[in-house]
Amino acid sequence: MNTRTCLLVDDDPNIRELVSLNLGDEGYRVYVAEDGIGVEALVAEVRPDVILLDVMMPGRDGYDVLAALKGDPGTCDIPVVLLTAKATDEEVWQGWQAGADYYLTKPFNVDELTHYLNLICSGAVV
Amino acid sequence: MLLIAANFVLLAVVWRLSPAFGPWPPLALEAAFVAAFAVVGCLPMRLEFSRHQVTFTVTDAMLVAGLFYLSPVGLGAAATAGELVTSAVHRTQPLKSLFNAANRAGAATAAAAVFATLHPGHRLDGHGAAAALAAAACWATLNILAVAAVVASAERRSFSVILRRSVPTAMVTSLIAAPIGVLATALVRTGAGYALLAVPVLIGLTLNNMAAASHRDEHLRIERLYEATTRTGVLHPAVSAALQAVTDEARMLLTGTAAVCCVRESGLWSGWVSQDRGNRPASDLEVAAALTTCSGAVPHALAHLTGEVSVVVTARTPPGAPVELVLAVLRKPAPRRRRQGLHDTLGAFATQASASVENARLLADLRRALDAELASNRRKDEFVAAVSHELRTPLTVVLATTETLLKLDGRLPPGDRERLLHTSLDQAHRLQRLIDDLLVVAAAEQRTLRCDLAPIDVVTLAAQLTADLITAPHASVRVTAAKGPVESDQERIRQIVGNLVSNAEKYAPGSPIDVVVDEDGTALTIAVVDHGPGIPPGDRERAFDRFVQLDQGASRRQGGTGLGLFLCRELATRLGASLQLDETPGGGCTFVLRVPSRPNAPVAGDQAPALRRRPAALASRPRVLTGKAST
Repeated sequence: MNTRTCLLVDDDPNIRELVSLNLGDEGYRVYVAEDGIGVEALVAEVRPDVILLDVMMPGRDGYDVLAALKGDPGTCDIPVVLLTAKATDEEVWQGWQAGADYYLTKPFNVDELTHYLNLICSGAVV
Repeated sequence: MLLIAANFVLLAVVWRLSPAFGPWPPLALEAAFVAAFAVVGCLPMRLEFSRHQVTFTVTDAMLVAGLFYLSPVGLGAAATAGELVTSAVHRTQPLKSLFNAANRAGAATAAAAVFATLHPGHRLDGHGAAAALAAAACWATLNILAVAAVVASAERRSFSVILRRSVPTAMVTSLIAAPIGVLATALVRTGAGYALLAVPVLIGLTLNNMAAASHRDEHLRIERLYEATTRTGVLHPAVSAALQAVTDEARMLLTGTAAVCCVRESGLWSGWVSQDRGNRPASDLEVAAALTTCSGAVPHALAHLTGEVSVVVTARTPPGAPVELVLAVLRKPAPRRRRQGLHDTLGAFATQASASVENARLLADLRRALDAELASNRRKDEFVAAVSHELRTPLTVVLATTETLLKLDGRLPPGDRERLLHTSLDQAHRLQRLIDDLLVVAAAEQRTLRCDLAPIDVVTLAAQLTADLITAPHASVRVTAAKGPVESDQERIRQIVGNLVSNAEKYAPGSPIDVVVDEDGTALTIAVVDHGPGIPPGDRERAFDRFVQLDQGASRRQGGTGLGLFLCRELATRLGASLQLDETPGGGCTFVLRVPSRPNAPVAGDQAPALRRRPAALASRPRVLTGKAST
């Protein structure tokens, strides 16, 4: 089985470490970015199978990154999961409107997250 | 006067030249006609046709009858007498009255000439009636032509337009006057007794007509009053706009040249002026003049001030009106019988207008309150979302760390395990701090926030602050002076400083943060100084508002609830202390907390005493208010 790759964009170092540990244990290769600046270049370089994207980040927010990725024909087919503490109905709807493929709210269950990503990468969830 | 005299000379010439008129009629008859004209001159009759109103006077009909009886001199004298009496009754300006009299006398001359030419002799037959009609038409037309010419030149309006509008009126007048005059003559010719019967009927008709006209005026006035107050009350949800509308309406209602409306709000009078050339707020002098005029102290104060040649109609709201109003309208003089009516109308209007202005004020208040409520609601919604986010972030780490430790136990290097446990603990403390802050805010909201006073040793306080700030690597505590003990609430001070430092860490990341403690014997001053981007002067006070975060939007650098500074200020207020935001020299924020050494003037709570002296036995009771205190 090919090694699956995931790109995690989150400004919280704790989240980056925890997600990396768990996905690494599942056999993923995890790339991380601390903020939204320059994410497109990283995506073009590593071509991840799935992107985990935080929304509230300093400098450039997740919606902006999402719009750039979905607007580029080269990256628009990579599934993007918004992983955010924004959990009100309005905020979730705003996330879907912004073009997210999946929406996960913090706090998230670690098993659920890995199971979800496994499904996405195996193409079971489209 | 010259014109009138010239007319009479002309009449005499016409008489001599025209043999058809025969000998002079008896002088007694002429005198009787002149007297009759003078009497009926004061009985105008108004007739309405289409949308115009024709003022028909009995004089016109009598003039036609006079064609059959009088010499042109008598006719002219009768017309002049009638016109002068009418002018006097209507209080027409003297110059205008003289012009009208001359004009009528001149027109009478022409009518007499036309009549003599068309119908020599004084016989009353078909021919005579037709000649009388033609003479009346000629008379009315000449009258109108002269008036139109004067109006056109005085008001610079188009002569032809005025003529087009007034000639039909003149024609209607003569068409009514001529048959009545001819009929009256016929009655007199057949038997004078019958003709006399017509006089009381005519007088009765005229009086009836006058009463009807007066009723119509009254009705119109009430209708306009109703319309005016309805409009002002509904359309203007702001006091100044309602006041403007009221002033305008008052002026229009009384056909005034100017109007002043003054209103008393919280003891102060202010006013509005409405004039042809526009509206403006009234000057203090005008307000004073309107009040003086209205009180009757100096009845013409306002007229003197504005220099208008007019009378003043004033009204004041009766006691108990919602808003106290004074209205003064400057207008042209009105006939005596209408004056009381005008005062009554304005009085009724003032009462209605007071209700309108009050309505406007209430509406404006309601709208303001609603806007404030909506804004507050919106901020609360944002606050709930922000709190939710702030709670979720550390909770996510605590949960994910615990799950990871359970799931990957045994596969983790020992160092990682230890580190993850510490991460989890830190985030749990963060949650605890947040909950503490929320409790303080809730207490502040419910006015139950309490501070316990106890003597504080400044050096000990500084040591505690240093211990609190161990998690803030860039912060350092410095004591510049410690002259004496301070009586205040140490835990609250630590809470404020902790919040100020964490605020500085958020908004000035990486910048050194100096906490400078100074006690000069009168007050304890703690300055939290950072060298970050700072806050623009215009936003500095707003930064202390509840739920306010100056940097909005998803990409803002920091999360947070917008409560930190609000909380600090609330706590400071409860301590009787002040909290100010200044600029750090070279850029950045300096928050200065100034706590009086002796809380002589404690800030009293609304329901519970804000400051409470802690019993000596409990002075050393350990209190953990912030997570930092226990780390």
